[in-house]
Amino acid sequence: MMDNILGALNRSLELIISLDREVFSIVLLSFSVSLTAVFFSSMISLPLSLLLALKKFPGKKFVVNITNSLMAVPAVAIGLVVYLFISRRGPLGVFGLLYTPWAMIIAQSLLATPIITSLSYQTLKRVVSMVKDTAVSLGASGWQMVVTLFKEAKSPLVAGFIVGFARVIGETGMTMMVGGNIRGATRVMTTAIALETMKGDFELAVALGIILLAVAFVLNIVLQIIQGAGR
Amino acid sequence: MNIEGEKICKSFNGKEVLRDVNIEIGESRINCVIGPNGAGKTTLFRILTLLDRATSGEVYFDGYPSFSLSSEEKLEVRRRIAVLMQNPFMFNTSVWKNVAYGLKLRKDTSIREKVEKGLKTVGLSSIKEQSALTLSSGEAQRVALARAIVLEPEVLFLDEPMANLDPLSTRIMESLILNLVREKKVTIVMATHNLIQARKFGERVFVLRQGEIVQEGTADEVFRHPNSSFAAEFVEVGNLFRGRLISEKGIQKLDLGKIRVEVVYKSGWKKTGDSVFATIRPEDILLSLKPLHSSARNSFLGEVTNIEDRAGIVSVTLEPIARLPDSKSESISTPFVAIITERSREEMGLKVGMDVYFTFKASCVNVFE
Amino acid sequence: MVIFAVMSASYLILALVIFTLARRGREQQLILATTTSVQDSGLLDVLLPPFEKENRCKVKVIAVGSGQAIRLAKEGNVDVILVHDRIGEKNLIQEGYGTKRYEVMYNDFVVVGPKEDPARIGGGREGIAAFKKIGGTKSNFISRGDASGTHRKEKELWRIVGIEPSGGWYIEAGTGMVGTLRIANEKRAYTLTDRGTYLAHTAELNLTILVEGDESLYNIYTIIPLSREKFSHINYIVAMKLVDFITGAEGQSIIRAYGQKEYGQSLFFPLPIPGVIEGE
Repeated sequence: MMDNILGALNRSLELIISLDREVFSIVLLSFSVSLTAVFFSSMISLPLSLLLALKKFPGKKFVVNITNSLMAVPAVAIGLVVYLFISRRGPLGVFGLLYTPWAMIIAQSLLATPIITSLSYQTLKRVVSMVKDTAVSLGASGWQMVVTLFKEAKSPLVAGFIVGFARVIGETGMTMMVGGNIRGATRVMTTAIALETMKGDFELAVALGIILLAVAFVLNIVLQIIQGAGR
Repeated sequence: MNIEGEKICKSFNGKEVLRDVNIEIGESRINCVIGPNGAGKTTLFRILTLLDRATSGEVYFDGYPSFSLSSEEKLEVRRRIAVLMQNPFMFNTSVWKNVAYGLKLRKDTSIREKVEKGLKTVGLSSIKEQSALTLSSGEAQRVALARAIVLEPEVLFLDEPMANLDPLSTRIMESLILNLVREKKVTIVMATHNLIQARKFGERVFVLRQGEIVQEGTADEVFRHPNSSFAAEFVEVGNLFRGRLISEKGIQKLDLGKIRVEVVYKSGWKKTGDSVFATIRPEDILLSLKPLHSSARNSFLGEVTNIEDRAGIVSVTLEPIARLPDSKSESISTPFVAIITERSREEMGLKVGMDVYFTFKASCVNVFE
Repeated sequence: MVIFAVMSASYLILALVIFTLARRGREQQLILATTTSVQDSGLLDVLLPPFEKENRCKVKVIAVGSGQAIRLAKEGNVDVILVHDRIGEKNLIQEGYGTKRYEVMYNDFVVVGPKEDPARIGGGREGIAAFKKIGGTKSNFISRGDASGTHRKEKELWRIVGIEPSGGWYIEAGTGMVGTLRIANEKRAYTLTDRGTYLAHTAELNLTILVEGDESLYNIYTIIPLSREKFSHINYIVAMKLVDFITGAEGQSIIRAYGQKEYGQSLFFPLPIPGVIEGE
């Protein structure tokens, strides 16, 4: 059994070093899907967190609570909801999104948005109290103040995105449900590892596992650096 | 620019912070708002500079009420005012960029020269590339000042600018501010709880207590003639007494128990027999080893009960020795505090327990209800 | 807040772009749902590429249990299915979701278990007899438990011997064939498996084939394109091309040859007369 593992390890490293096409197309897909998802997430979370940090409105506390609670929704639940929506029988069925990368992007965006919104909001709230008065008293217009806000909050905001990205790129169940883990089309690192392990083909699984770990590791280091350097 | 606040009230969550504040920032070049922490100075400043809105009341800028101003006009007003907060926030960039911030907002065309000049004025040209986050509080305060003055504001608000500074930085800031007034003709509004500073600066002083303005006037008026016991205590007038107004042989006097002090109480609500407050500034009291014959109407003998050295200024506490037969010597003590120089103390050889004569003019006694 | 409105608007526009783009690539694409046993056997990796090349299209394979594949078909989320579940298939045709059943190949199930063979079923040629003995001795048995074709076959056998399997000895894995085999391996238990999957994983398993060759253990795979009447978006043309390929000479020879090199025996057998089975 032991030489099984060592053998698999050996062959996986070979796969990585030789830049095996299948391995890297899977990795590439993982990155494209998750990066796009985080990008879409940011389009909702940035304006939303900005709104929450700057304005007071009735029901604000409620919105903040909901956002924080949404972070606790399990990914598979999101997967289920997305599946029901984009399945042919569902309301968005006509677009034929199920089993395409877009389905995974949508699901991952939904997963990442509460996380990124919540983190961004906390960051901005802290920065607003310090920056707003100074900027405004020095003559900043509303828009200029927002720009300054983002400049000052750059590091922690980026950290929020990294956290969101790490969360989605490592997600398996939901991604498999809506993507179908189709070879060459919707197979990403996590779903491939799950499949290959179940099949017993450890080479590919371990190779991808090593890369995934490396990615997680690097992301964490970057996160530490940012959090250390920033305010 | 003329800024006027009329009947300004401000409450936070039901707690009233400012009540019926009327204040005008006009011709006078240096205005001081004094009051203890929590009096509402910062809140008032924020309202006068359009950072916050009053719960009721109005602020007028050159006669225009703030509600009548569009957002562009409000922005314009803000750009003619500069504010220096107590712990100024430094942007996460170089000193140079911090100072240039306001100019960049206004898309100024001569940023470079103005920033260089500003840095030179506050004496920080040497650290212009340094990260603003690494500055000491004194340096940060100066950067904040440079940041404000390069914008050439008409009015500069300073909220307790020297509260957290060491004496050296304080002196630097003070001279910078005075220069500003002298050379640039900027109107200054300064909040402080430091009396000496207010006295040094204030051409016009407003005393703020628990959200209300209890006195306003020139620095001299407020310090010499505080009109309330609060103001008196706050301006540390030093000698605060309570006594009865009496008339002795047609001369107005204040009966303090052990001694009777001649006063000049012109007009007021109180009549003979009423109880009033009185204050005398320590520096108005003269000490002598022998009786002093002068034009001053009040001269008494007292026993030195305490001598306190305050960095070159000596504060001498005296207990008057009752001299009238019908005055009760067991009456409560009414210590007088006088201030003399260290040299005088040495020359006089003052020690605790000694008897000295203390003298002051009747007009120096500030009587109020 | 203007910013907010602008961002929401651009987000909506982007969403619209995605949706329209996603629709485009559909023409040259075929979505095929099949069972995990077919996928895991690796047959499709050899069978599909020549088809894809000849027809300049791409076949996206989704591997699930037979039962699930049929459900996917009913939802219209796939174009064509390749399964081995006669009852479910007939049901699909009857309800109009599928057009016709085209038989493609067959493989057989075998009963595997530990060398020790506590129930003494080894060497038998009858699945039914084996099941009777296992149930009688209450020897450990791992079931797929996932409504897959294998699972249904297993349930059918229990039904025939009149045993309602339950108790500590009967374990429902709820996972694919490989997973089930591994559990059987761990627990030194019996299980019903298709020959292909077993052969592909003998290296890591310590189980032996104890009962084989029984016709009741045969397993026919059919391919069913979905109906254009029910689902207008189905890529019917390419689906039929796949049917022709698989049941045609080229497909069938690939199927026969598969497994010879690696395991010395075929994993799937082409049917004597492959083709349409009307009605039945």
